[in-house]
Amino acid sequence: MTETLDISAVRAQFPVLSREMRGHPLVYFDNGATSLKPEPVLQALEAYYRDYSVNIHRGVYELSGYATAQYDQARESLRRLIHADPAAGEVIFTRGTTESVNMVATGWGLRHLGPGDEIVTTPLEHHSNMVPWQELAKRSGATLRYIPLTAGGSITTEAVQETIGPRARLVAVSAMSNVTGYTPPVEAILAAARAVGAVTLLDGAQYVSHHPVDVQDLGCDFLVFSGHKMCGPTGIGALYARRERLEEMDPVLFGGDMIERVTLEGSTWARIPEKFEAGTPNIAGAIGMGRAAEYLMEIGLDQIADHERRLFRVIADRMGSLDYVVPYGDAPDTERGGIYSFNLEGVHPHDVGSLLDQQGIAVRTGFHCAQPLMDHFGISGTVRASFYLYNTEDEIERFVAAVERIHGILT
Amino acid sequence: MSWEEELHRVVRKYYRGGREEAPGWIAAGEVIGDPTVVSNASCGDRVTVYRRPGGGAWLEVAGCAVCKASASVANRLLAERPLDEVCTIARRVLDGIAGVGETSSHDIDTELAGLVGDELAADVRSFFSLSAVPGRRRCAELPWEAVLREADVAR
Repeated sequence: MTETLDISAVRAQFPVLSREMRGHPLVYFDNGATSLKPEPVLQALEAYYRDYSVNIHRGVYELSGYATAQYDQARESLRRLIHADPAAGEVIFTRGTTESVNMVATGWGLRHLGPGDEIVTTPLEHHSNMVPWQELAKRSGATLRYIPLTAGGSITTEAVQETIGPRARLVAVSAMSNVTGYTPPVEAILAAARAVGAVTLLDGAQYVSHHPVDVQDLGCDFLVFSGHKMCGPTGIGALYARRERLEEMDPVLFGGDMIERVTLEGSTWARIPEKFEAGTPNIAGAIGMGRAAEYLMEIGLDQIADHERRLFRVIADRMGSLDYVVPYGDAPDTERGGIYSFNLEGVHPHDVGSLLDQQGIAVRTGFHCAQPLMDHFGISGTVRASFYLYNTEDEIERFVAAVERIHGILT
Repeated sequence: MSWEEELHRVVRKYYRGGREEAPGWIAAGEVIGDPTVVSNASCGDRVTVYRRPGGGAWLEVAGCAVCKASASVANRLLAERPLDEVCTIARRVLDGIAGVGETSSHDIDTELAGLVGDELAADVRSFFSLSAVPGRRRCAELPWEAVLREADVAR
């Protein structure tokens, strides 16, 4: 039997959950945008700033050595989170998923792609995993292709096979849609890419924080994700890459900390990972992200995924009984994470969001940085409820009751 | 009444108005040139301005309740006044929503009351509270920006 989460104990770790919003206990359903932060992460951040807020790497004094060890430990925590073998791949600290994708587009893509090559992605991507490829295609002369979606926003293996052809050099897809929570057939996509020798990038921004991930099993070349969506701080993220890809990738930031030797004539680069982490890094952010990874592993990613799948089933069932609710995404719940996107017929999503706010419920409304997917659905935006380990079925009941009230007000 | 309650009162008052049928002259095709369209890139809301020969304009909104309510106020003014006069009002309203200078807010209020009367000025003022709500400010601004854009096109 799967062990279930002790939700009360989990919730007690998140101070924000104890506050009210608009005079109601806060219901936080905007985890797709960012997650709340638990005490262990807050304590790790405070400990850095309060007890040893010094620079890393080159200080010859005790505190600097300690800070460096904490920073390195954070990298190790992230390696363990995604089951990366340090001999085969490495985690680079970045500012977040967007920066990680851009590093690959610029540092790897510009060096390896040219006219005649194809970059393959999908129309359901977050802009951060689409715009960099559009720009790379423009600069390199490569062609950008999209794996077509079904009407409901899913991807078939047939569509994968038809789109990833012999000219594909880079395939970049999301492991989970930030709009519908749909989890595309990643294994099939990665296998199709490998079959034609294409390099692969997996956008794990919505996935890594909610599901167990093993990059060795997946076999992807790159995996990108953010700290703030996994109970960590903002402004920190990660780029995992297989070592051979990092070795054939150019740094995109130059300066201190990333060099081996500098002369007046030129410079050589430090070893991996320092080569890709120019300047003083976000030390506290990295330590906080590492502690967040430990926290999630202590809770158990399997348990978190199960919990969110259960919440999705509850909200899909309860909202499905309201005939004026239009949900988005047609995949079965076995192919969905904890995100439920919908509209109320004839009502603007912003208005729903504002009225939910009046009842103490935080959701995201709009196009969710996924305008091509909105175009695919023929809408300008949705209301998105996105869950995490601390959300409850009672909160969903409050949410559904609020939606019923809003429908009564606005129609 | 808090500023939020006041805003909700005004949005409710005008929201239905924002859904009014367009004037018959639009359906009859009595419009000049291509309509002017102004969009809010952050949410996709859209205001379309239709203009009639010899004067008269109408805003059509695909957007949220705040945007519709704001446009409804503008439509009431456009139905009664020439475009140039509504532009003068639009500039004052946009100044108010933008929160231009706390010290000049009294001047804006006084000028608006002089232009549109006390009751409508009080309603319009409720949108000014959105100057502190960056996520919704553009919703109220969009119709008035459309009025100004249309005036530029008309010139």
